[in-house]
Amino acid sequence: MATISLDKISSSCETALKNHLILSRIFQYLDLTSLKAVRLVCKNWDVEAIKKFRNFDIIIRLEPPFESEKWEHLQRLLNLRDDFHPILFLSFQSPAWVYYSLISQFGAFEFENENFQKVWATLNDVLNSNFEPRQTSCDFRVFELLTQIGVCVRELRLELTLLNETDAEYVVQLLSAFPNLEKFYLDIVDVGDEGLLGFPLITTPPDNSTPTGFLPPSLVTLGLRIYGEPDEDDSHITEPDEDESHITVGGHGVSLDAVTHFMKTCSISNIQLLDFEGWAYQDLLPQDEVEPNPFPKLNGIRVGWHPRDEDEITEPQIHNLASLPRSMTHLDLNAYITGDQLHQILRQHATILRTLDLTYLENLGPLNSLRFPLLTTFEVDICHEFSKIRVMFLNGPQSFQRTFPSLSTIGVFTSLEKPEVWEDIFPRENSSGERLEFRQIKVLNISLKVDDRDDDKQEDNHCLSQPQIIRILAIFPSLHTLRHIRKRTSDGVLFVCRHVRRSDVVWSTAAKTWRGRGGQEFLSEGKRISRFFTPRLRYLLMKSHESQGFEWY
Amino acid sequence: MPFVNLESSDGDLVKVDVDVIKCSVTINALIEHLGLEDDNEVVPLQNVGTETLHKVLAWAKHHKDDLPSVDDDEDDPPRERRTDITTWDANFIKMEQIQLFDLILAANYLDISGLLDLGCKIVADMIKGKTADEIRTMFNIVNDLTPQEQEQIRKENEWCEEK
Repeated sequence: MATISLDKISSSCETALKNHLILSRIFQYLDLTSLKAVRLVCKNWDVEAIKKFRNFDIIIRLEPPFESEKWEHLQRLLNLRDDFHPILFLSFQSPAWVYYSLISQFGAFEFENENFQKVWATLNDVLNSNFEPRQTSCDFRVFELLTQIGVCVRELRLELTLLNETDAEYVVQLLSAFPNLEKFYLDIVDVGDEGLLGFPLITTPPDNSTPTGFLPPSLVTLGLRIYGEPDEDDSHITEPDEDESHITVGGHGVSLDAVTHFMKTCSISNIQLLDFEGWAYQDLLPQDEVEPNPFPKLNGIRVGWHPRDEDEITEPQIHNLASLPRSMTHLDLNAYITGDQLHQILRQHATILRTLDLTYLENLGPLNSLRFPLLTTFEVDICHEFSKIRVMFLNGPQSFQRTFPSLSTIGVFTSLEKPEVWEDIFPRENSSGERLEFRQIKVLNISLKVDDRDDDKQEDNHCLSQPQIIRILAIFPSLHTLRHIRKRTSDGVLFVCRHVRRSDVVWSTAAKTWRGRGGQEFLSEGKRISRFFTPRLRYLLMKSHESQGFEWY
Repeated sequence: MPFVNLESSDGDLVKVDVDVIKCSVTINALIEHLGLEDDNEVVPLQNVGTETLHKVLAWAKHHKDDLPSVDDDEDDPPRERRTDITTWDANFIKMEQIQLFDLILAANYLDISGLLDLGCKIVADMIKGKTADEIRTMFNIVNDLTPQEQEQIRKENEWCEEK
């Protein structure tokens, strides 16, 4: 790096740093912390720096206590630029914030660190026993303040309980302060019939024919996510097997009627992406041809089914996904489903599918028996069964090309650290010993973890060893971007490392890496975890390449 | 016309291969607009001194055969623009601050994107991790913000963190 004498202050320096184009270009290479600092240099720099804030996924956390004098500053910030639309994250005393602050305190830990697991389990016990759901009495001061800034907000992330009518009223009232929302993620801490039935269906004159719900019509992406496993003493849980009119949602027992009503209130004609994490519900989208399609523009859906051990994904659930009113271009199946079930679903969507994201797959056989002419991005999350990925490649590049003619991005995520698993996942040759080369793959995102070493400080910051690069390039010779995980040995902090191919021989490491707070997803056997900020390795990688304008998280 | 004569603001003429300087949008446009057809004609560069011009040409010569940049690839988000610098560039850009800003201004005037990016990356690196006071001192910038305005910006900044 250049070592530049700082003592000569020139007129050219002044001229350059007053030039908006040059200043803008310099600020483009600054991180958010530095941008905040340069705002304080002078008025001119403040004006230019604030323009760059829009390049970051800025999240603004609103947590109790709500102090009006602080909100004035927020309101001014939001009004500075029309194109600055940070994510507003509202939280009302849920355990997730406690988790999050604790996770950030740790900052670094090993993927498979037993000590951390023990600490984590202890924290779960303590936090769950102390968790008091949000007080449902409405705080009118909050709404008054929200109304002032709500029109500027395009994305809202809200975490709340939906246990009773008051909870529902609270959400409806909150949403009324955000008339221009485009993305809304409701992370539900706990749910009950009363809460779901508390959302009103409003019939709008003059036609009175199409009742609408509580969501702003501008909404394009909707996430209704419910996490967690049931507590053993969960009083409102009903065993699904005992009563068909009840289902389990995110580990909580609720009636079908309540869920159906709630889903109707969520119908917004503009919605294109739906995230239904945690809803093991067969009628996520009504199939009744008599009723109009509640989401006529829907082109992407994410489902997360996490049945308890004794449950299975039901055929009606699969059928529902396999017979949606229109085919999807984006699918994210975060569920334990069989190969046949996968085939049943993909058969419906394969022809127009552009992104496919699978977790907990039983096998990938169905992929080879279908054709995905438009699929550009395929990502998969696996635990141990690496041969299931391998099989995708073993038929050779011609077969691969026939099945996935447009596929250029592959993502494979696993929490296992051993580097040799990648040799299992990406075969270098088939069973006949023929070399395998997949030239159509341009971007590879993998959770291959590399430790920083002293010799990493070599020129051009290579952190992957030459044999590692050679092996990957042998299989994917046309690769131009490779992302993986790098761990800083000094403190264990994880980074996403992005290598960009500059020429046939030179690979360089992007110096700006995205720092993550954790490693693998922590599973707590039988314990309830709210995973709003899941410290997932995969999330780390996804964060680093969400520029495709499509994201679930 | 394989060569062109560039005239610096100091009045010096520098003969250069057109292929080398094709990275400059400004010079390409001047050649086209001036209708230069033979090797003896001169392109005046009133904003670039001789020393800086030689630096620009050295950079352009080294990068003459560069592959097209991948920065604009759809997989490369704007906010993650690469901040990596090759060893050659790092050595090239080792210069006094006055020369660095002369080079940045020249790259801006000549519209040489790669060179401008290089200079801006270096300045960005100089800024990173410094306080506003340190940055002002480094670049001799006058603080025209009132204490109230600074406090306002601080409080606004407190609201923002990266997702």
